[in-house]
Parts: sequence; structure tokens; C-alpha cells
Amino acid sequence: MDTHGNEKSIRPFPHDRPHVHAMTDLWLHNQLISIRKSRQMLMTWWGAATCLWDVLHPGKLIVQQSKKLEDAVGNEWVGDGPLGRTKFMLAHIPGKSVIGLVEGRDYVKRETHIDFKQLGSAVVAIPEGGSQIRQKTASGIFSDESNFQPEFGDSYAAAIPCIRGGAWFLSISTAELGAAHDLHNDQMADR
Amino acid sequence: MVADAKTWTITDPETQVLIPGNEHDIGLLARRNFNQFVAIDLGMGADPDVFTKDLIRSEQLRLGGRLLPDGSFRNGWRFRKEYLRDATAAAGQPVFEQEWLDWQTPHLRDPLYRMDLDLSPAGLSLPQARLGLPEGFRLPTPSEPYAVAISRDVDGLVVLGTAFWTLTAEARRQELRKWLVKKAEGRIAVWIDPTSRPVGLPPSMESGIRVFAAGADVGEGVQQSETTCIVLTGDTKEQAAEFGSNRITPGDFGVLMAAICRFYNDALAVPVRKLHGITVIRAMLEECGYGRIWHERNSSRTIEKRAEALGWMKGETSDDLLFGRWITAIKEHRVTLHSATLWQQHSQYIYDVQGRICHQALAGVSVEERKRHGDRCVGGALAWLGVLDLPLWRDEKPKDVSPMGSLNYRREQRGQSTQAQKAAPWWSK
Repeated sequence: MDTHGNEKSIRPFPHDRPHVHAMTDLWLHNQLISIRKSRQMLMTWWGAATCLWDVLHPGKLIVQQSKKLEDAVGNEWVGDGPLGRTKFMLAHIPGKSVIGLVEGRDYVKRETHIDFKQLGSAVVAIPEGGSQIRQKTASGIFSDESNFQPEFGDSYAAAIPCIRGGAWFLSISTAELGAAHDLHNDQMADR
Repeated sequence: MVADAKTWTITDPETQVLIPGNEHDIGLLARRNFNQFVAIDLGMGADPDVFTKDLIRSEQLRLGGRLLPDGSFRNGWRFRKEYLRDATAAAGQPVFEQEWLDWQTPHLRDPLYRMDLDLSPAGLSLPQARLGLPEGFRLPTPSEPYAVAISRDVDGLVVLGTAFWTLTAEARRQELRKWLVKKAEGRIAVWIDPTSRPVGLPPSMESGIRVFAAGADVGEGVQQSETTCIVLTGDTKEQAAEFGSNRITPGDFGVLMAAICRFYNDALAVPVRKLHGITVIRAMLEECGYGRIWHERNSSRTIEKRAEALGWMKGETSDDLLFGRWITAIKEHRVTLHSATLWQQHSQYIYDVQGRICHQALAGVSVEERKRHGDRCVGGALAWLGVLDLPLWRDEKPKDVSPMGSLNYRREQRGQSTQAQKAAPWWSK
């Protein structure tokens, strides 16, 4: 979804852009990733795509975290927010009924999550804060605009048991000072 | 080189260039940090087909970049933060850009006159008053209605009528608290007279009067921070008056604030509520009987109703609800400043390393310390908040309290005593 007012607003994901390809390879081979990016790099779309790909495997609980719940949930009809983008891509997978992705039978879209009943997987949107992650045993955590989450330090600390258990952690943000910035720059010891 | 193409596993703490950048920005850099994260820096150079030279230049210009006389280009801090990933780019940058303040420069001028409170006539007797009154006061001439205790003449002088001298010293002091007096060395600078005709008033409306809002930020009164009051007009949104002092106590300032508001056609007062602000509000309400104070609203999806909480809850420049609106008003030239001091203080506001707005003298102190700092810009922002809630002008000045000794005052007293008699139980009559 391109909401910049172009004629063809819904287009295939531009996987051929050089950094998208490289980022995917990096994500496949590294459990913990922190990305400090420029604007307009398609990284939130890419993060939502990785969440969708991973949740289509059995027994996965993927957590998408933003500053507020509304930010994490977003809007699936305009492709906004991590969960909104995940829902949007799920709705536009070509020939999805052929590969066994029928809405209502194979997966159910809720306000704050998507359940894949056959697979026993789910992707959940949560607001910032350690207590939000603490109560979940996640297989993967996607923290969107993490530099703008004042409670990112608590979230990361609460996610460490999940990470030790094998969960991947993906932090993506534009530049801002905060705990995520310190994590990226080896300054977490100061906190 | 550990980041081989086969596995893409990053284990080296040294930065690896996975995608080279170009002359505009880096590409894709990665390294393993101490927390075992792969720290990736992703710049516009990683995608040169999308981030072309023209696109980058248009974004640079849109975000405050400038072509310098020597032909080089200087990026604005917003571009450095958004596109070049500089988290501290905002630190030290002025909040009010020079172009916004330059627009105000032609409007800066000296005040029309100055005013202040003066309670000294309360201690005088009539024979002493005949020998000479302080500056700004005079006795009535035989042709004037001498029975009224206090009134203001066309020149703005305060006339102390015969009834004034029949009052006790305490009652005189109470009356004088309501009247600002013209003083050459007064603490309140006045640019717009409250009796001036509203701009844009239709000729058919003869009785329209201007409306004003007065914002007040309160300091401690021990020379640590400034207590300020800024008055703005409702119709032209320009500065009408200014007060600033770091010696006045909050209680005295409440009395002065009530007098300023009464002088300005019963202006809407918007004081802060935090710390000493509550003392100001209490002094205005209880000591001066002035109740036209801005109050919060409780909003829900369907209704918005008046809350009991008087005054603005905070007074910090980091409060976007308050200061953000003022920044927009200055940026879009919706407000006109006349005071050079107020104008100058705007140029002293910067963003700190956390991106919060602060006074440059306070950039190194804690947030708690900043909260105690009163300032004229905060006063202006509060007045702007009040002005947004006001009509352009009013039909008639609302009657707050009748001057003691006036005909209306005696009627009110008589009416109140009649009501009290009627309300009293039968056995007390």
C-alpha cells in the first residue's frame, strides 16, 4: 500500500530494493537486530512482512510493540501500523486460498491480533512497557519506532527470558535519544 | 571479514559495510554490539534508485536546508535527524526560528504608559490629601459626581471621591486594590488601552468593548525566577500589557493580577495552577473577589463540561498542549508582540539533547528545576490559550462589583438586607 497519492496505490512488495534483500538475509541469520534507519526506508512494512512470514509456521507467538496500542494496531484498510500492515499483506497474498489461508477457517482477524487456529500461531499488537511483554512467551518480538518508546528499557529487560529461549528480537527506529538508542550504541550499562 | 554472503551472520564488533553508500549518505552498515545485537545503520545510500539527488535536495530544502553564499549547502537539524539519523541534531537548536521573530520586529515599540498598584492613599486623611496625593490620583472637582468613592477620569487618573474618605483605612485599602494607577515608574507596561475601540467593530455597534486574556506564570518571588503576566487582545491578538518581576510574592501577585484583569475590561485570567500558582488563584478569588479565571474542561466523546479545576495545570515549556500552540501562533504570525523583552526571551529557547524545549540558561539543570522557572513566554502562551476561548469583542462590560459608595452599591446593599430579612425565620423577626 502506497498512501502517497500515487495512481496505483496497491503494489507488490518491492523485494528487489537492495537493502530489503540484505535486511531479510540478516534477519534470517541473526537472532537480535537493532536498526537505526533514515525515513522512508520501508522498514516497518518489511518488519510486518517478516512477522507474517514467521507466524505462518506452527506454534508461533509474534508480538508487535509500539508506543501506544493504537499505533501498534494501526489500520488494516490503509496499511498503517505493524499489525495493520500485517493484516493488509495477509489479505492481499495472491492465491492464498490455494495454499490454505481462508479467513474464518484458517485464520481469524481480531482488533488487536490475528489467530491462526490450524497452525496454533498468533500475532499480537501491544503497547509499550515491560509488563506487556512479561506476560507473554513470545517466539518473536518486533518493536516499531523503539526510540520513541520511553519504556523500551523495561520492555527489553522483560523480553530477555524469551530471547534466551530462542525468540528473535527486532528493533526498528528512526533517530531519537532513549533506551533503544543506548542499546544500539552500547550504552545500556549507563541505565 | 566475518559477514560472509553465505550465512550473513554478523559476529564482528567492527563495523562492516554490507551495502556501500554514496556522496549523500551511508548504505548498510552492521556490527555486533556488546548486548549481542546486530546494530544496523541504514541510510539513503543503500537505495540510490529511490533516493535520487533531486529527491534528497527537495527534502533538504523542505527541512530547513540553506544554500550558503560560498555555494555549499547546510542541512537543517530536522533533515539531519530524520534522514541522517543524528539523534542529537535538535540539541541547542532555537525553538523559535529567526525568520518568525524577524516578522515581529517592526511591531516592537515603547509602551503607551505604565501602571501600578498604590495603596498609600488609604493611610491619608482628607486634609492631608488636599495637600497632595500620590502620582496618578486626584480629588474630584466641584462639577464631578463626588459621592462615588473611586472612579477613573478620561485621562486615566483615579479620582478619590468624598465617599472614599468616609471609609475606614482597611475598607480604603480594599477599594484601592481594585484600581491600577498611572505611574511613570510603574511595573506594568501598557501598549493598548482597554477603552480603545475594537478593530473590525461594525459601525452599528456603538457599545462594543474589547476583550482581553491575561496569562500568568508564577515564580517563587525570591529572585530565583520571574513572575510574569502577559495580556493579549481578543480581536487583533496583539500584546496589550506586560508585567514581570522576580521579587513579588505569589500573594501580592494575585492582588495585582486581579487589578490588571479588572482594568482590562474584566479580562479572562489564565494563571498556572502548579506550585505557587494556587496561591495566586486563592488570592484572586478570596482576597479580591475576582472569579473570571480560566478553568479546565472535561471532554468525553459526546460532551464537554466545565471542570472545577481553575487555572492551567502546568507551566512548562515542554508541555506541548500549552507551548506547542504558542509556537504555532508565532510561526504563523497570528499573534503580534510589542515588548522587546518578551521578543528577546523567545530567542533564548532551545531544544535540549532529549529534544525537549527549555530555556538555554536551564539546559543543564534538572526537569524539576525547570518547572520552578517562571517566564514571560509561558505567560504569553497562557494568554494565547485564554484568547482562543474568547469572542472578538463584547457588547457591554460585565458588572463585577459596584464601587463602594456608589448608587448601585447602596441599592445592592439594600436589596441584600431585604432578602436576608425575608429569608430569616419568623421567630427572629
